[in-house]
Amino acid sequence: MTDSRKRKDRSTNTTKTYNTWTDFEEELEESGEFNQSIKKTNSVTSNNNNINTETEGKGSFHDFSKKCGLKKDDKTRPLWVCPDGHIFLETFSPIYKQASDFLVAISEPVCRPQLIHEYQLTPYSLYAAVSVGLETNDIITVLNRLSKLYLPKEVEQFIRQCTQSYGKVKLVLQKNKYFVESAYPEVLEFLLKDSTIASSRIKPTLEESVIDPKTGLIINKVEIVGAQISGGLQANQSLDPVLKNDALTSLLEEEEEDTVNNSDQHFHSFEINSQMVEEVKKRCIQLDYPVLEEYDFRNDTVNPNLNIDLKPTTMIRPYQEKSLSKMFGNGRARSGIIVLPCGAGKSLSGITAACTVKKSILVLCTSAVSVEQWKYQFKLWSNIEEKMISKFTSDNKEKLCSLAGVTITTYTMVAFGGRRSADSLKIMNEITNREWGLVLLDEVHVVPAAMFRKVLTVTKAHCKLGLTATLLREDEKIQDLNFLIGPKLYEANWLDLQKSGFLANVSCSEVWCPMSAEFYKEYLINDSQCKKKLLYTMNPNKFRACEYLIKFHEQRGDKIIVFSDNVYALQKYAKGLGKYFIYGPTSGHERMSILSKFQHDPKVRTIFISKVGDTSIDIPEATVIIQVSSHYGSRRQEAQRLGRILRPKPKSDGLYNAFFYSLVSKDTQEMYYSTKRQQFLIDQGYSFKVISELPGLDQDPTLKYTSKQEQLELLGQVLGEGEDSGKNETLEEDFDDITRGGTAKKQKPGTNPTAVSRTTGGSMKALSGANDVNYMEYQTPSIYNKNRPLKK
Amino acid sequence: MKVFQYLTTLDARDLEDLYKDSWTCQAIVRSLPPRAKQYIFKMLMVDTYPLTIAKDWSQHSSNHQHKEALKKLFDLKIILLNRGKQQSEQSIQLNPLFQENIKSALVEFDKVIFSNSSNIKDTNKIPNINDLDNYSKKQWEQVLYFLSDDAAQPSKFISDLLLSSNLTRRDQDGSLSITSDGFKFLLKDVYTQIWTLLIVYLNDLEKKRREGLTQGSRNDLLGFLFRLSFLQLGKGYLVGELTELQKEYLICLKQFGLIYMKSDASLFFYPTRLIISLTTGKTLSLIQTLAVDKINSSSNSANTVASSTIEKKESGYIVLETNYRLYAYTASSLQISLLSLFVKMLYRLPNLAVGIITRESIRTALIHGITADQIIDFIRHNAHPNAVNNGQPIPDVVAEQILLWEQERNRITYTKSVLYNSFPTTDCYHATLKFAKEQDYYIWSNDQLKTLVVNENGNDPIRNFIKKNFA
Repeated sequence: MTDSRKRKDRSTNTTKTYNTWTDFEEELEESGEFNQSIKKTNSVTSNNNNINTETEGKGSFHDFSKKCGLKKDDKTRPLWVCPDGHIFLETFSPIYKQASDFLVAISEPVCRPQLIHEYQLTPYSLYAAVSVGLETNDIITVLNRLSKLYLPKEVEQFIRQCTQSYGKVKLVLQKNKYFVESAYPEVLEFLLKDSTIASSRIKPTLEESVIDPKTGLIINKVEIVGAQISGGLQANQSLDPVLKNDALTSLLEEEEEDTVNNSDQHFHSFEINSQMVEEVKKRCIQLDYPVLEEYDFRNDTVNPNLNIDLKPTTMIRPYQEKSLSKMFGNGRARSGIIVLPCGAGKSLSGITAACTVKKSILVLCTSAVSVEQWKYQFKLWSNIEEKMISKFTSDNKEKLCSLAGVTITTYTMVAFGGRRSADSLKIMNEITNREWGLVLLDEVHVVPAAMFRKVLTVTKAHCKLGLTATLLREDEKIQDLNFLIGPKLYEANWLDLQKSGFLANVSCSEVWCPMSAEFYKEYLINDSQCKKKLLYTMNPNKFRACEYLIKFHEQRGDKIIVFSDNVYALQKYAKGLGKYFIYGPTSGHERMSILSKFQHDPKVRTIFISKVGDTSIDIPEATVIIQVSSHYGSRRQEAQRLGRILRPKPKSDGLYNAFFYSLVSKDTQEMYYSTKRQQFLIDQGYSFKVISELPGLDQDPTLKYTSKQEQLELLGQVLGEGEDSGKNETLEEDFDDITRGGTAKKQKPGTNPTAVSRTTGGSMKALSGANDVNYMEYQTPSIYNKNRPLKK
Repeated sequence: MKVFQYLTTLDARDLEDLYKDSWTCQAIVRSLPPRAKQYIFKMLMVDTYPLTIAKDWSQHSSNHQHKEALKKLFDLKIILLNRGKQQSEQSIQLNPLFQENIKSALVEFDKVIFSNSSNIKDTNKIPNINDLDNYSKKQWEQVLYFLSDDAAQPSKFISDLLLSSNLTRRDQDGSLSITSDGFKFLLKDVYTQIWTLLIVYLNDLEKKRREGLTQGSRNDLLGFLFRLSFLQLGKGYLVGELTELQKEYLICLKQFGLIYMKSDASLFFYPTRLIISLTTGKTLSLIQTLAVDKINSSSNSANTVASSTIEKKESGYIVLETNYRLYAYTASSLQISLLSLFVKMLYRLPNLAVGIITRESIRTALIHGITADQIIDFIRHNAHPNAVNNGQPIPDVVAEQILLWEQERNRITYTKSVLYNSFPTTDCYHATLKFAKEQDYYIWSNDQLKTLVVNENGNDPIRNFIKKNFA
């Protein structure tokens, strides 16, 4: 099929090889020697361990029944570990909670429905485990203790391999001096053999340091005390119980040495020149000892403190606390990513982290609307004074607070490479000059690696915290984040949160809309992919289903958001039904006004939004989502859209209190994409009910496009739409995938030349992920400047 | 087909023949539903009973069960109807032979089925109950294995049985392969499976007897089976006590795992749980709707325990999730190969098998003649206790999707048809088209390509039409 080929071309075009290591390094530095060494280490790891990554092994049958031995007391143990690193966990085991906490720390969740969860050990997940302070032997013993099967040798070997070098070396910023620190002096000695690292080493400048006479290393006897998370309990409490759990030990009577307790350990370190930090980090990656960055914020006396605390009325939820305890586990702040479902309170987690660090905070988000929302959230949950918060967007350029403060801005504003206005430049300089205690990165999944790199080099941050709901991308670039921000610290289980009432109980449905005969005929004979797409989106039966559902839910008193990626369809639907709509060209001011009408005006029950509303727009009132058209098989988009209605709802009649409908034209490509899109949510335990027929749809004559006559007219319009809507399509297609914008220069010659020139023109902005800006770039300026009519 | 359904298909003479044996009568009484049992004992000591009074045995509200029970008894020819001259003179009576046997069974306590008073001791290791359970399970699974696995080599007896039961068929190259009936068979419960095969065996035997090939008879074997079901689990019985015919049967039953013998020449045989609960197990309730009565109806409490434990052991190993993943707590190759009929298996661990239900895997099963309902029932029956406690042995979404996949296959209908193209002239094309439509042969046409498709029946008339008018 031409379509699939096209998509394939596209993906190979954007990322030549999906080797995340080399890919990332390419961006870092394009020296051949450097790449080689990374490739070498990479191949070494993949050769020696026999663990297939999930994608490799998928689909084939693995028979481990002969290979693995079953323990005698297997009934009391909750999980199976397969030789390929796949793990199955029973949720009905009495020690499920502890086991799942442990697995989340060391492996990637694959799917987590009701009864049996699956996890996969990956190098990245083990890297993350090590960086939150777990040690190789602990991982192996605990895993073995929990497993019904004797731990396969391959797995043990794999864990050792992945963890031997990770997490051994830390880069600590202490009193504004950089130290390379490790519990293993031999590792430091090994590193010092390297000329680059050796040359960047300087004599210790702190007076109180104890120096080992033999090696000349500084010895710190560190007593690890968990940091007090603002508003929460002692931090490192929650990790240790996973390892030395009473329930575990009593259930599985096995002698256990207390290997876990490393609270009284010697750390060796040497100081390095702060100019050379970047250089040293790079060398360490090359030597296969990637450094972990930690920030000892309590002992940072140089940077001014920020007076911020959670309001006494603010309660943080157990899972938020758990995620933060991973971050502040040893009394210092680690960089990393926290994955929480939409609506589960990501912002509050971020704000709590900010209240714990109490230094200057920089918040980066994807759009101006979400800048406003972050500011509101800060005021809502913490006692920070309003004047301490400054916004930095294209509309609002507020000065930074002189001492310590909170600055909220967008990725685009910081990464912008072109000429800036005088105010903007001034603020930007302040941002680059300041030492930030904590950088909060919102919706990290949408921002491409190149952009992150830019942002993270211009801002000097002690600690970075990424927040997202869906750590996945169709282009698998997500692994880059591991090295740009840090490992994934925590990933919440959607179903558990739903059961505990932290998320709304959503009923997900896929509504099958049969194609009308005339539309289907055109669909089959039309060669143009855009046309095909437009035909199945504009399927009159889909329109009718949409209208029907809107009517039904408006009568129930629900607030409805209709999503359509296709701008032509968006306008046609919204105008046809007389509803407000928001899309790219809608200005920020108009957006806010429509959203506020939607929130407060009881007459405005339905709004139409293009993909600009996918992320970061918080509309707690919405209870129903109808999806008319979407971006191919993007699992992330589906999850993000569902996220718009996940905030727990007070009103509840019956089982469900929120509804998600995906309208799909039967017998078209949409069916295939739809299945693919749902995969992520299905893996989280959601189930999509297929509605093959809406009851009473055919009896309602008031719906539009009921008569053949109207349908044929619509078909004529759709076919007549030709070039314009087609163009809309291609632009849109480029546009969602931000990475493509970033690599627009590499576009292959076959694509529409006008599109290329436009994209190149705005390549830096296209990098941003700030959807609105992207839209502006694509549309001709005259359209943008004109006042767009909001409503028909 | 279950055994009592089977009995009702026999003619009066055969039944009469069967009722000569006291053990058969007892076995039948034992496995009747309580109401039917009650009626038998009501009439046990009387000769005839006026039908009008029998009507008062039941309250009006349970009239349905009353009729149902009486019908069963009539069908089994246990109750006979004496037609009087008038409606009021009609009376019923128990089959005298049956009545006599039950009466004597009630008074004679020391009746032995097979004597085991002999001084001969079994020199081989005496199997305990667990051994017997494992043995019978293994044997029976092996039988099923022959069905699902082409590579397995069954004994001649089993393979003949499978062939004549139409569960397998012989391919052209002589190897056996499973039929769609075979697939359906695999998804049923053990007792139904055993009876299905036993009945085939019984019929074969009867056929052979008529042809004079064997001494054994169907009634003989049925009586023997009923008799065996009164034996005690875990006890050994002397083979020498049996008649030559019964010894023959024994060798056959052994291959089903109904009987344990160390070797064909052993002095002792041991009944297994399967044979003991064969008539009292799941199949015992004649009226399916009275499922509750099932447990009460078995007169022997030991058997109740036995059959309920075996039920527990058999059931509940499948966990099906909303993401179409299926986890089977099993180590049995049979169960796994069974599941792989409609599940794409991904992992096999010592006590767990993991697979996923996909459109393809279901379609393969559908093509083999398994229906969506059978698959859903199978999963529901074998759902893991934890899945059942959770309220959904099979998630609705998955069940609906399986049904949708089945419907999907019915969207296309096939019609044998003939395609005409390269008509010499447009006129010829249009005339033929008109003719085809008038005669109702028309299926599809395309004016631009001048192509016409008609159904098979239309081929000759249309050819003649063209010849006649345009040749």
